[in-house]
Amino acid sequence: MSVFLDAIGMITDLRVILGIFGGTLLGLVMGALPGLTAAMAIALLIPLTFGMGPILGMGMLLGAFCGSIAGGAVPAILLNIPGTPSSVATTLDGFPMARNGQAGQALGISIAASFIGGVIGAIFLIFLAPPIARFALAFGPAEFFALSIFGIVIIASVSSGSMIRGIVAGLLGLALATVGADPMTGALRFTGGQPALITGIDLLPALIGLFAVSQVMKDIADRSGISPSEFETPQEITAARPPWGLLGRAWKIISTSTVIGVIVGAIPGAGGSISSFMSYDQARRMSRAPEKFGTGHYEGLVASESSNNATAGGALIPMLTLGVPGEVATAVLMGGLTIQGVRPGPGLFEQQAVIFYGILLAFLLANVVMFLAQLVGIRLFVRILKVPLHLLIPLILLFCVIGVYGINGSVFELWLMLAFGILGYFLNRFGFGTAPVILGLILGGVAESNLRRGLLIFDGDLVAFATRPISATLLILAMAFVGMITVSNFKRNKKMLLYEDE
Amino acid sequence: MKVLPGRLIFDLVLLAILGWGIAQAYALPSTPTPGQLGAGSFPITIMLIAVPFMLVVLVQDVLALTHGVDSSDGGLTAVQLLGIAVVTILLTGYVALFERLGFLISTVTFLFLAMLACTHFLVPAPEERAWGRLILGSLAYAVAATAASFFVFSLGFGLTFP
Repeated sequence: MSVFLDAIGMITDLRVILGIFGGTLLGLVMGALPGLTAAMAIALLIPLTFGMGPILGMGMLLGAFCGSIAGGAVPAILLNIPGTPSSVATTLDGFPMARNGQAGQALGISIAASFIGGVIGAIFLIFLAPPIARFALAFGPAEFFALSIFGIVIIASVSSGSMIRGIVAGLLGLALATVGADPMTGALRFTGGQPALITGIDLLPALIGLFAVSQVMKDIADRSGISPSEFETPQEITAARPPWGLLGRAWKIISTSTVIGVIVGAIPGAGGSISSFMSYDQARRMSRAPEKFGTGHYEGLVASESSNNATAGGALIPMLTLGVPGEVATAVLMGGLTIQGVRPGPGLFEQQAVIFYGILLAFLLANVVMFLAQLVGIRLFVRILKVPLHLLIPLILLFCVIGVYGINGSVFELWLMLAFGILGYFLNRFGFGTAPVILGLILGGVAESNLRRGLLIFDGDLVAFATRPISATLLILAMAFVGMITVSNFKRNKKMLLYEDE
Repeated sequence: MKVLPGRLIFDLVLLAILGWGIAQAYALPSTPTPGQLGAGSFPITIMLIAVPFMLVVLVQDVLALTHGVDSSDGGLTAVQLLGIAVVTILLTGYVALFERLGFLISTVTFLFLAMLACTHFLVPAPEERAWGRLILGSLAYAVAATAASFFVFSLGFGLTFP
């Protein structure tokens, strides 16, 4: 209990509240701008949080995480362009509502539903994370090794279009993690005589290169030569007040959608887009007016928005307790926490319990801040949609350079960032994905050191890794997941071939 | 002569990197203790696992290409390619000159050129575009953004710039 009270004390610090507010604002802005992602928002914020206390830094990152998910609803409603993948389902009823002249009400519903979903997700996180973390305390080298493999397999399987390409990207990340001095013998590996690489590849240039620089390149490629007239201009709104009465009538939909959101979010690999579509579908089944869905019906919007924000809380459960992020944004968030000196996983709960609870509470607070910021500043976020990309891109690149250089004052790390940016662009372009690379880079050291420590303990017996109950279960789960994805890909390809034949 | 598609080149580059990595890892000292892993064992294992996966990817891409179902390679137009190349060159120049010219001069130059490039690629305008106004506007933007970021990051966050 005293740990929990200490965590409350840390969270109620004014600097932490301001940090969460700043992170949330940046997240809302980035989420509202189509083409800029939640992962990019977090990656750009990481350098700023360096040197801050862990709770303040993590509060900012969590604020950006929450804000970018909620911010994605603004262009989804006003422009029919989802700001983030998890707000795709929001366009189905949000945009028709805006076209029917109810843009303010649609935004109000979205703000309130996001808040309710986010808070309930955070409460689930607060209650479910500690018991899972306690269970994970029994983990030894074999279990940690299996967990690393499990995490990489999961993210490799789901974060790119093809599982094989995702696995290649994950293995690439693992290989990059071996650059530097060998943890056991000190022998230098793949450093090419570069002293800056002796301690390994720094996570920050990799994160910013893979998620911010590569995204800028993608935006340039996607939008070059496209006439501005092809983008719609958002309509002006004067206010976005949540219609609480309407939301009260949709309580069944809200509660079902948030539960779906949390459960789907906690499953590694599933994400906000899946949960919001599942909730949307469930809401249509529960509704008294299912025929109105897709024409601008508030229940569809409520289902989608409450669900995708609840997913954020669910997604933090495996990331914080097991160190297994389920999708791209949480993988980047995990990278940010690692840079802060906080390594998510069972050890976090055991060794830094106050920080562990602090993160949970910071997430809850971030949702409250997100709600207030959106209520007050919704007109600003609508205006942000009008900021042209050609003004933003040079600034984003400048922040990338400042962020990476500012930490160690190393130009070599700027070259690394650029190299990772180019690599990331091609990895995304050719369907490999960048999230498995970063996870491989984070978990590579954990996997190797635990494998070697385990081999020392088990007298060089590799079989012991597969016979201990928890590690065996994790390895079987990883293989089952690969099997499941393979079968589903096979079925999908077969279906596509049938369509082509027809 | 038909040019080798980008995705095949990328696959081959990744394979070459893996081959180089395996050769480098084999040269690392091995462990004298039986049953234990040497410095090169883990990276060799990782890269040896990656090679067959990469070969499958290569075969998939070759098959997709020969069956004419390759969609992503055909997407990049000359303008898009040029856009990516220009941004990469600008960023390369910025990084190369960052310490030599110092933060203020290199950043103003980078922002000014990046702004012009982004306007050119992202805002296709009629031929009568007022270049004079655009250049002045970009210069003002570059100076203002550099000054603001310098004060915010050096005074606000205590960062030391060259």
